[in-house]
Amino acid sequence: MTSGTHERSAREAPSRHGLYVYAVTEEVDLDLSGSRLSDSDIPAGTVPRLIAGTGLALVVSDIALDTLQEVTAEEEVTEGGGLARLARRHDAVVRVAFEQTAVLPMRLGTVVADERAALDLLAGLDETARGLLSTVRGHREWGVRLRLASTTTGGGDSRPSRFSGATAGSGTEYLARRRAALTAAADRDRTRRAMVAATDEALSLLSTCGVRRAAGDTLLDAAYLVAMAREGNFLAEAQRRETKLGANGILLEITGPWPPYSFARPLREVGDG
Amino acid sequence: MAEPVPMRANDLVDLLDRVVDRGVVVNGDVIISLADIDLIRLDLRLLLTAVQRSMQAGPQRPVPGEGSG
Repeated sequence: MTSGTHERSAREAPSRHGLYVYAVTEEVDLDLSGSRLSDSDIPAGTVPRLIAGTGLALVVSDIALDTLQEVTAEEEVTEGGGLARLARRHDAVVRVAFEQTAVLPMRLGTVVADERAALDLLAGLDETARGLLSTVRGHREWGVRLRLASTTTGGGDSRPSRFSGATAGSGTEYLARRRAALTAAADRDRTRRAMVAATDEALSLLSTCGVRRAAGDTLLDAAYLVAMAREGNFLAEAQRRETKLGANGILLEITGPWPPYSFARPLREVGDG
Repeated sequence: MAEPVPMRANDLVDLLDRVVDRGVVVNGDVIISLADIDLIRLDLRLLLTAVQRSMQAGPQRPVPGEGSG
Protein backbone atom coordinates (compact mmCIF):
# COMPACT_ATOMS: atom_id res chain seq x y z
CA MET A 1 0.00 0.00 0.00
CA THR A 2 1.57 3.27 -1.09
CA SER A 3 1.13 6.74 0.26
CA GLY A 4 -0.03 7.89 -3.16
CA THR A 5 -3.06 5.67 -3.13
CA HIS A 6 -5.70 8.28 -2.53
CA GLU A 7 -4.23 10.79 -4.92
CA ARG A 8 -4.05 8.29 -7.75
CA SER A 9 -7.42 6.73 -7.27
CA ALA A 10 -8.98 10.15 -7.17
CA ARG A 11 -7.32 11.04 -10.44
CA GLU A 12 -8.44 7.83 -12.12
CA ALA A 13 -11.90 7.75 -10.67
CA PRO A 14 -13.70 9.47 -13.59
CA SER A 15 -13.29 6.49 -15.95
CA ARG A 16 -14.93 3.99 -13.58
CA HIS A 17 -13.70 1.33 -15.97
CA GLY A 18 -10.43 -0.49 -16.11
CA LEU A 19 -8.82 -3.33 -17.96
CA TYR A 20 -8.93 -6.60 -16.13
CA VAL A 21 -5.80 -8.61 -16.91
CA TYR A 22 -6.24 -12.39 -17.01
CA ALA A 23 -2.94 -13.69 -18.25
CA VAL A 24 0.33 -13.05 -19.97
CA THR A 25 0.85 -14.94 -23.18
CA GLU A 26 2.76 -14.66 -26.41
CA GLU A 27 1.86 -12.45 -29.30
CA VAL A 28 -0.05 -15.11 -31.23
CA ASP A 29 -3.50 -15.38 -32.76
CA LEU A 30 -5.95 -16.54 -30.13
CA ASP A 31 -9.64 -17.16 -30.46
CA LEU A 32 -11.05 -15.33 -27.46
CA SER A 33 -14.49 -14.87 -28.94
CA GLY A 34 -17.56 -15.35 -26.83
CA SER A 35 -18.45 -18.58 -28.58
CA ARG A 36 -16.01 -20.46 -26.42
CA LEU A 37 -17.28 -18.94 -23.19
CA SER A 38 -20.74 -19.18 -21.75
CA ASP A 39 -22.75 -16.00 -21.38
CA SER A 40 -22.61 -16.19 -17.63
CA ASP A 41 -18.84 -16.04 -17.78
CA ILE A 42 -18.64 -12.91 -19.84
CA PRO A 43 -21.02 -10.00 -19.37
CA ALA A 44 -22.14 -8.26 -22.55
CA GLY A 45 -19.60 -6.00 -24.14
CA THR A 46 -16.65 -7.35 -22.24
CA VAL A 47 -15.34 -10.03 -24.57
CA PRO A 48 -11.68 -10.70 -23.81
CA ARG A 49 -9.07 -9.45 -26.24
CA LEU A 50 -5.32 -9.33 -26.62
CA ILE A 51 -3.09 -6.35 -26.10
CA ALA A 52 0.26 -7.11 -27.66
CA GLY A 53 3.69 -5.59 -27.50
CA THR A 54 7.34 -6.72 -27.55
CA GLY A 55 6.35 -10.25 -28.54
CA LEU A 56 4.26 -10.80 -25.44
CA ALA A 57 0.57 -10.12 -24.98
CA LEU A 58 -1.98 -9.65 -22.24
CA VAL A 59 -5.43 -11.20 -22.23
CA VAL A 60 -7.69 -8.42 -21.00
CA SER A 61 -11.28 -7.31 -20.89
CA ASP A 62 -13.05 -4.15 -19.81
CA ILE A 63 -14.34 -4.21 -16.29
CA ALA A 64 -16.45 -1.81 -14.29
CA LEU A 65 -14.48 -0.94 -11.18
CA ASP A 66 -17.70 -1.24 -9.20
CA THR A 67 -17.52 -4.97 -9.83
CA LEU A 68 -14.31 -5.17 -7.86
CA GLN A 69 -15.64 -3.00 -5.09
CA GLU A 70 -18.64 -5.27 -4.77
CA VAL A 71 -16.33 -8.21 -4.40
CA THR A 72 -14.24 -6.62 -1.69
CA ALA A 73 -17.37 -5.55 0.17
CA GLU A 74 -18.62 -9.12 0.46
CA GLU A 75 -18.79 -10.40 3.98
CA GLU A 76 -18.63 -14.06 3.10
CA VAL A 77 -17.82 -16.34 0.22
CA THR A 78 -20.84 -17.95 -1.40
CA GLU A 79 -21.34 -20.00 -4.55
CA GLY A 80 -23.26 -17.25 -6.29
CA GLY A 81 -21.37 -14.33 -4.79
CA GLY A 82 -19.27 -11.74 -6.58
CA LEU A 83 -16.00 -13.33 -5.60
CA ALA A 84 -17.06 -16.74 -6.90
CA ARG A 85 -18.26 -15.19 -10.17
CA LEU A 86 -15.07 -13.21 -10.61
CA ALA A 87 -12.95 -16.27 -9.86
CA ARG A 88 -14.93 -18.45 -12.31
CA ARG A 89 -14.71 -15.85 -15.02
CA HIS A 90 -11.01 -15.41 -14.41
CA ASP A 91 -10.49 -19.15 -14.66
CA ALA A 92 -12.73 -19.52 -17.72
CA VAL A 93 -10.89 -16.86 -19.69
CA VAL A 94 -7.48 -18.09 -18.61
CA ARG A 95 -8.47 -21.58 -19.75
CA VAL A 96 -9.63 -20.43 -23.18
CA ALA A 97 -6.17 -18.99 -23.80
CA PHE A 98 -4.47 -21.89 -22.03
CA GLU A 99 -6.11 -24.40 -24.37
CA GLN A 100 -4.49 -22.65 -27.31
CA THR A 101 -1.07 -21.58 -26.13
CA ALA A 102 1.24 -21.15 -23.15
CA VAL A 103 -0.06 -18.69 -20.56
CA LEU A 104 1.01 -17.21 -17.25
CA PRO A 105 -2.18 -16.50 -15.30
CA MET A 106 -2.33 -13.25 -13.39
CA ARG A 107 -3.37 -13.16 -9.79
CA LEU A 108 -7.11 -12.60 -9.37
CA GLY A 109 -8.11 -8.96 -9.36
CA THR A 110 -5.29 -7.48 -11.42
CA VAL A 111 -6.62 -4.34 -13.08
CA VAL A 112 -4.86 -1.60 -15.02
CA ALA A 113 -6.27 1.77 -15.98
CA ASP A 114 -6.14 1.60 -19.76
CA GLU A 115 -4.30 0.24 -22.81
CA ARG A 116 -1.29 2.43 -22.20
CA ALA A 117 -0.96 1.08 -18.68
CA ALA A 118 -1.31 -2.43 -20.11
CA LEU A 119 1.54 -1.74 -22.53
CA ASP A 120 3.64 -0.41 -19.64
CA LEU A 121 2.93 -3.61 -17.78
CA LEU A 122 4.02 -5.65 -20.80
CA ALA A 123 7.20 -3.64 -21.16
CA GLY A 124 8.07 -4.43 -17.56
CA LEU A 125 7.73 -8.18 -17.99
CA ASP A 126 10.15 -9.37 -20.67
CA GLU A 127 12.79 -12.01 -20.02
CA THR A 128 11.50 -13.61 -16.86
CA ALA A 129 8.06 -13.97 -18.36
CA ARG A 130 9.48 -15.41 -21.57
CA GLY A 131 11.46 -17.96 -19.61
CA LEU A 132 8.44 -18.97 -17.57
CA LEU A 133 6.27 -19.21 -20.68
CA SER A 134 8.73 -21.59 -22.27
CA THR A 135 8.79 -23.66 -19.06
CA VAL A 136 5.03 -24.05 -18.85
CA ARG A 137 4.49 -24.73 -22.54
CA GLY A 138 2.92 -28.15 -23.07
CA HIS A 139 2.37 -28.55 -19.34
CA ARG A 140 -0.60 -28.57 -17.02
CA GLU A 141 -0.71 -28.12 -13.28
CA TRP A 142 -1.99 -30.75 -10.85
CA GLY A 143 -2.63 -30.12 -7.18
CA VAL A 144 -2.02 -32.82 -4.60
CA ARG A 145 -3.00 -32.63 -0.95
CA LEU A 146 -2.33 -35.24 1.67
CA ARG A 147 -4.19 -35.17 4.94
CA LEU A 148 -5.05 -37.52 7.76
CA ALA A 149 -8.19 -39.40 6.78
CA SER A 150 -9.71 -38.75 10.16
CA THR A 151 -8.49 -37.25 13.40
CA THR A 152 -10.14 -40.00 15.41
CA THR A 153 -8.11 -42.89 13.99
CA GLY A 154 -4.72 -41.62 15.09
CA GLY A 155 -5.13 -41.49 18.85
CA GLY A 156 -4.02 -44.95 19.87
CA ASP A 157 -2.70 -43.78 23.19
CA SER A 158 -5.95 -42.15 24.23
CA ARG A 159 -8.09 -45.24 23.71
CA PRO A 160 -9.52 -46.54 26.94
CA SER A 161 -7.73 -49.75 27.74
CA ARG A 162 -9.77 -52.91 28.14
CA PHE A 163 -7.37 -53.88 30.88
CA SER A 164 -7.52 -50.67 32.85
CA GLY A 165 -9.32 -52.41 35.70
CA ALA A 166 -6.75 -55.17 35.99
CA THR A 167 -3.77 -52.81 35.83
CA ALA A 168 -5.11 -50.06 37.99
CA GLY A 169 -3.01 -51.23 40.89
CA SER A 170 0.24 -51.45 38.99
CA GLY A 171 1.94 -48.14 38.27
CA THR A 172 4.85 -49.88 36.60
CA GLU A 173 2.60 -51.73 34.19
CA TYR A 174 0.66 -48.60 33.44
CA LEU A 175 3.84 -46.69 32.66
CA ALA A 176 5.10 -49.50 30.45
CA ARG A 177 1.83 -49.58 28.58
CA ARG A 178 1.83 -45.83 28.22
CA ARG A 179 5.41 -45.83 26.96
CA ALA A 180 4.57 -48.53 24.42
CA ALA A 181 1.61 -46.51 23.20
CA LEU A 182 3.74 -43.38 22.79
CA THR A 183 6.40 -45.35 20.95
CA ALA A 184 3.76 -46.81 18.64
CA ALA A 185 2.38 -43.33 17.96
CA ALA A 186 5.87 -42.01 17.23
CA ASP A 187 6.50 -44.93 14.88
CA ARG A 188 3.25 -44.26 13.09
CA ASP A 189 4.14 -40.58 12.69
CA ARG A 190 7.55 -41.49 11.34
CA THR A 191 6.02 -43.92 8.86
CA ARG A 192 3.53 -41.33 7.71
CA ARG A 193 6.17 -38.64 7.31
CA ALA A 194 8.29 -41.03 5.25
CA MET A 195 5.31 -41.93 3.06
CA VAL A 196 4.47 -38.27 2.50
CA ALA A 197 8.07 -37.51 1.54
CA ALA A 198 8.20 -40.55 -0.74
CA THR A 199 4.96 -39.54 -2.46
CA ASP A 200 6.23 -36.02 -3.04
CA GLU A 201 9.50 -37.36 -4.39
CA ALA A 202 7.82 -39.85 -6.73
CA LEU A 203 5.44 -37.23 -8.12
CA SER A 204 8.28 -34.71 -8.44
CA LEU A 205 10.22 -37.18 -10.55
CA LEU A 206 7.30 -37.33 -12.99
CA SER A 207 6.88 -33.56 -13.16
CA THR A 208 8.97 -30.71 -14.47
CA CYS A 209 8.80 -28.77 -11.24
CA GLY A 210 6.84 -28.71 -8.03
CA VAL A 211 5.84 -26.22 -5.38
CA ARG A 212 5.10 -27.03 -1.76
CA ARG A 213 3.15 -24.64 0.36
CA ALA A 214 3.01 -24.31 4.11
CA ALA A 215 1.14 -27.44 5.06
CA GLY A 216 -1.31 -25.99 7.59
CA ASP A 217 -3.68 -28.79 8.55
CA THR A 218 -2.46 -30.93 5.66
CA LEU A 219 0.54 -33.23 5.53
CA LEU A 220 1.40 -31.98 2.05
CA ASP A 221 -0.04 -29.22 -0.11
CA ALA A 222 1.80 -29.37 -3.41
CA ALA A 223 1.38 -28.33 -7.01
CA TYR A 224 3.20 -30.09 -9.82
CA LEU A 225 3.83 -28.86 -13.32
CA VAL A 226 3.42 -31.94 -15.48
CA ALA A 227 4.23 -32.29 -19.16
CA MET A 228 1.07 -33.41 -20.92
CA ALA A 229 2.91 -36.36 -22.38
CA ARG A 230 3.67 -37.59 -18.85
CA GLU A 231 0.27 -37.04 -17.31
CA GLY A 232 -0.73 -40.68 -17.67
CA ASN A 233 2.31 -41.76 -15.68
CA PHE A 234 1.84 -39.01 -13.12
CA LEU A 235 -1.79 -39.89 -12.47
CA ALA A 236 -1.10 -43.61 -12.38
CA GLU A 237 1.61 -43.02 -9.80
CA ALA A 238 -0.74 -40.86 -7.74
CA GLN A 239 -3.32 -43.62 -7.87
CA ARG A 240 -0.80 -46.23 -6.75
CA ARG A 241 0.29 -44.00 -3.86
CA GLU A 242 -3.29 -43.30 -2.91
CA THR A 243 -3.87 -46.95 -2.11
CA LYS A 244 -0.76 -47.27 0.05
CA LEU A 245 -1.41 -43.99 1.81
CA GLY A 246 -5.01 -44.92 2.45
CA ALA A 247 -3.90 -48.08 4.25
CA ASN A 248 -1.96 -45.78 6.60
CA GLY A 249 -4.81 -43.40 7.28
CA ILE A 250 -3.72 -40.73 4.81
CA LEU A 251 -6.12 -39.31 2.26
CA LEU A 252 -4.76 -38.20 -1.13
CA GLU A 253 -6.72 -35.46 -2.91
CA ILE A 254 -5.83 -34.52 -6.44
CA THR A 255 -7.17 -31.53 -8.38
CA GLY A 256 -6.64 -30.54 -11.95
CA PRO A 257 -5.75 -30.16 -14.66
CA TRP A 258 -5.15 -26.47 -14.03
CA PRO A 259 -3.51 -23.73 -16.04
CA PRO A 260 -0.10 -23.12 -14.47
CA TYR A 261 -1.38 -20.87 -11.68
CA SER A 262 1.37 -21.93 -9.30
CA PHE A 263 4.15 -21.55 -11.83
CA ALA A 264 3.49 -18.08 -13.14
CA ARG A 265 6.24 -16.42 -11.16
CA PRO A 266 9.82 -17.40 -10.47
CA LEU A 267 9.78 -20.36 -8.09
CA ARG A 268 11.77 -18.71 -5.34
CA GLU A 269 8.94 -16.21 -4.97
CA VAL A 270 6.23 -18.83 -4.93
CA GLY A 271 6.78 -21.69 -2.58
CA ASP A 272 7.99 -22.26 0.91
CA GLY A 273 10.40 -25.01 0.02
CA MET B 1 -37.78 -22.02 -10.42
CA ALA B 2 -35.45 -20.44 -7.91
CA GLU B 3 -34.06 -23.73 -6.68
CA PRO B 4 -30.85 -23.07 -4.80
CA VAL B 5 -27.66 -24.20 -6.48
CA PRO B 6 -26.15 -27.03 -4.49
CA MET B 7 -23.14 -25.88 -2.55
CA ARG B 8 -19.99 -27.32 -3.99
CA ALA B 9 -17.66 -25.38 -1.77
CA ASN B 10 -14.79 -27.76 -2.34
CA ASP B 11 -14.68 -26.82 -5.99
CA LEU B 12 -14.91 -23.16 -5.10
CA VAL B 13 -12.22 -23.46 -2.45
CA ASP B 14 -9.94 -25.27 -4.89
CA LEU B 15 -10.53 -22.58 -7.47
CA LEU B 16 -9.97 -19.70 -5.05
CA ASP B 17 -6.92 -21.44 -3.72
CA ARG B 18 -5.51 -21.32 -7.24
CA VAL B 19 -6.51 -17.86 -8.41
CA VAL B 20 -6.26 -15.73 -5.29
CA ASP B 21 -2.79 -16.29 -4.01
CA ARG B 22 -0.92 -17.45 -7.08
CA GLY B 23 -0.32 -16.08 -10.53
CA VAL B 24 1.72 -13.22 -11.85
CA VAL B 25 1.92 -10.33 -9.41
CA VAL B 26 2.54 -6.89 -10.80
CA ASN B 27 3.54 -4.01 -8.64
CA GLY B 28 3.89 -0.42 -9.56
CA ASP B 29 2.03 2.52 -10.91
CA VAL B 30 0.38 0.70 -13.81
CA ILE B 31 -1.92 -1.03 -11.38
CA ILE B 32 -4.99 0.90 -10.44
CA SER B 33 -4.43 1.75 -6.84
CA LEU B 34 -7.86 1.66 -5.39
CA ALA B 35 -7.30 0.83 -1.77
CA ASP B 36 -9.95 -1.85 -2.10
CA ILE B 37 -8.07 -3.67 -4.81
CA ASP B 38 -4.99 -3.88 -2.67
CA LEU B 39 -7.09 -5.07 0.20
CA ILE B 40 -8.73 -7.77 -1.87
CA ARG B 41 -5.67 -9.95 -1.44
CA LEU B 42 -5.61 -9.72 2.32
CA ASP B 43 -9.36 -10.15 2.61
CA LEU B 44 -9.43 -13.15 0.33
CA ARG B 45 -6.78 -14.89 2.34
CA LEU B 46 -8.90 -14.60 5.46
CA LEU B 47 -12.07 -15.61 3.66
CA LEU B 48 -10.38 -18.60 2.15
CA THR B 49 -9.27 -19.78 5.56
CA ALA B 50 -12.82 -19.41 6.82
CA VAL B 51 -14.25 -21.38 3.92
CA GLN B 52 -11.72 -24.13 4.36
CA ARG B 53 -12.54 -24.38 8.04
CA SER B 54 -16.23 -24.65 7.30
CA MET B 55 -15.50 -27.33 4.71
CA GLN B 56 -13.70 -29.49 7.20
CA ALA B 57 -16.93 -29.78 9.11
CA GLY B 58 -18.78 -30.82 5.97
CA PRO B 59 -18.69 -34.07 4.01
CA GLN B 60 -15.48 -35.00 2.29
CA ARG B 61 -15.53 -35.17 -1.45
CA PRO B 62 -14.63 -38.59 -2.83
CA VAL B 63 -11.69 -39.01 -5.15
CA PRO B 64 -12.19 -36.56 -8.00
CA GLY B 65 -13.15 -37.89 -11.39
CA GLU B 66 -10.36 -36.17 -13.27
CA GLY B 67 -7.87 -38.49 -11.68
CA SER B 68 -8.90 -41.36 -13.89
CA GLY B 69 -8.66 -39.47 -17.16
